[in-house]
Amino acid sequence: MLGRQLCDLSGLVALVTGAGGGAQGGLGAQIALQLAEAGAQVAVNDLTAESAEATAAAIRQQGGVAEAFPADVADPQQADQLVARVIERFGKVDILVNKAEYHSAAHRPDQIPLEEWQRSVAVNVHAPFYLSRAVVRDMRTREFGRIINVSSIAAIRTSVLYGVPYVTTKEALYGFTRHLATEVAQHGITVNAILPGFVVTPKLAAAWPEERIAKLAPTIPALRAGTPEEIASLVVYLASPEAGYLTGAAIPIDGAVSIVPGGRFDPENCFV
Amino acid sequence: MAEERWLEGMVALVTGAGRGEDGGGGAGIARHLARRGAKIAVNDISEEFAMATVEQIRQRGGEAIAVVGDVSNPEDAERMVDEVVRAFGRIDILVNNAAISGLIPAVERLPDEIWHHQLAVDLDGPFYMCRAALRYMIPQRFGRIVNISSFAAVRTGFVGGVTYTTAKTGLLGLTRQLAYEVGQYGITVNALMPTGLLNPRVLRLRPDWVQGEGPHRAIHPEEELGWIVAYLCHPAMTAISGAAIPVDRGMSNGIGDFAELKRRSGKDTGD
Repeated sequence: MLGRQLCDLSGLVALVTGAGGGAQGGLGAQIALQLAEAGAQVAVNDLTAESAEATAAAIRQQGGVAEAFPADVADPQQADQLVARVIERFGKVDILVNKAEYHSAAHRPDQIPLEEWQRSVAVNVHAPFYLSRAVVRDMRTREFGRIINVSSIAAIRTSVLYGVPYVTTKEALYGFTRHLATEVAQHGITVNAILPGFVVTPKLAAAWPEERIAKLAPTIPALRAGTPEEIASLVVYLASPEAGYLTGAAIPIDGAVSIVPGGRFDPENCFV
Repeated sequence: MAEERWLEGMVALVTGAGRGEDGGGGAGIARHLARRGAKIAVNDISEEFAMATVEQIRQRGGEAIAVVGDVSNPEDAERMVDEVVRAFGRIDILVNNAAISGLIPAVERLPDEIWHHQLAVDLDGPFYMCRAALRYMIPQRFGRIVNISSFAAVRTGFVGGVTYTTAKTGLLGLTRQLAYEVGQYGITVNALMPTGLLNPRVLRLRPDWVQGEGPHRAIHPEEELGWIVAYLCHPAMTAISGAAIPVDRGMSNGIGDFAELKRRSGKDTGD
């Protein structure tokens, strides 16, 4: 075993949703990049071709294999077609990372618009179901598969930024993770959820004023935000053949913020 | 012994509470809350179902009305809450009990229709009902919401499939975040996670599902589940909110035998 590299994903095919944006992208883009670096061929999904292609191009530039697959994964037909297209191109799907997510705006609970709720459920819960359903059929033929659902520490705590639809759907995704894990464990397929805390991606850094990011850091025991690289490396591990007995878990990766005692709800700082 | 009526003057809406004697957790909760003095709005999907529980409550001297509608329809949710307020002047208690469970195919064979319908009733429904009730609870600065989840919310469904586990887990998120946000208005939101609830219809169909006796006996809907709901709805009970409380006689934390559970439930794991 000497010299064998941990987390070698060569020969495996990964589909990562919500992975567009390339170097300017969010967590999904970083996950796609690191999976490719570990040797996987990567199908990059995002809503638009341009966004998905940005990440695929970045991967090819660093010598990896990647292709863009634009689709709205919250649409069951598009989700099915997406998996079919990836299998057509790469022959199979070994790794599915459900990263595409919708951040509902924080409204007072009696005033949450119907569309905010429905889009949250569609993207954060329905889409992982559609895609998992499709890839499990393929994974079973090889008795190997890795499904990684990107949830949030909101699934075990609360959120001041995104409100009721986000917290509800991110925890529902954890329930989906657990149940699917029990169904497919016998087929060599693992299903896990990761629960990132506060992570500063290039996308977030562009959207938020620096002071806002700086204000959050001291609230975290690690005294800093997480980096996309740190989160992506956990995904790479979960995707690896070595992680075969780790399944049905929800893993916080958050600088210990989810184990800090709670605080009072401060509506001044969150409702839109 | 006269029962303490700490819910006197309060108005409760219990979803999925129909079928009276033949009902499950919802009917039991509705009957218990009535015993504690609350006026009850019994929701179910048909007039016949809802009236069965309404009649039971009235026969025992309680006050009750039927509100018929589908919790998974946001317009129905608002209309039903409006009906309760029109009839009784206010709404203090909302118990989200309506849910669909039962055996379904494994994920890889699960049709969109089953997934969407069950999630709509089990997860969207409680959200629509909470949102509708909070329109009244927030201005009156008082409310008690109890969501009936399941121990499936921290493990996996014993009888229910992936949609049940997903929805009941999401319901804990709804409970926790709502509790966090509406505590400032004098409103508490809690979830109960019963397992092995005595349900006459289920018992008839599958007597092997509820097998325990004595200290392992099934949870009684009215005497036990209803009592816990009434306790959480006590006007002075403000300290517990955002909780997910197992109602399981302490049994659910044992490590179960997956093969045996599969055999007994007929659970489809796609093999």
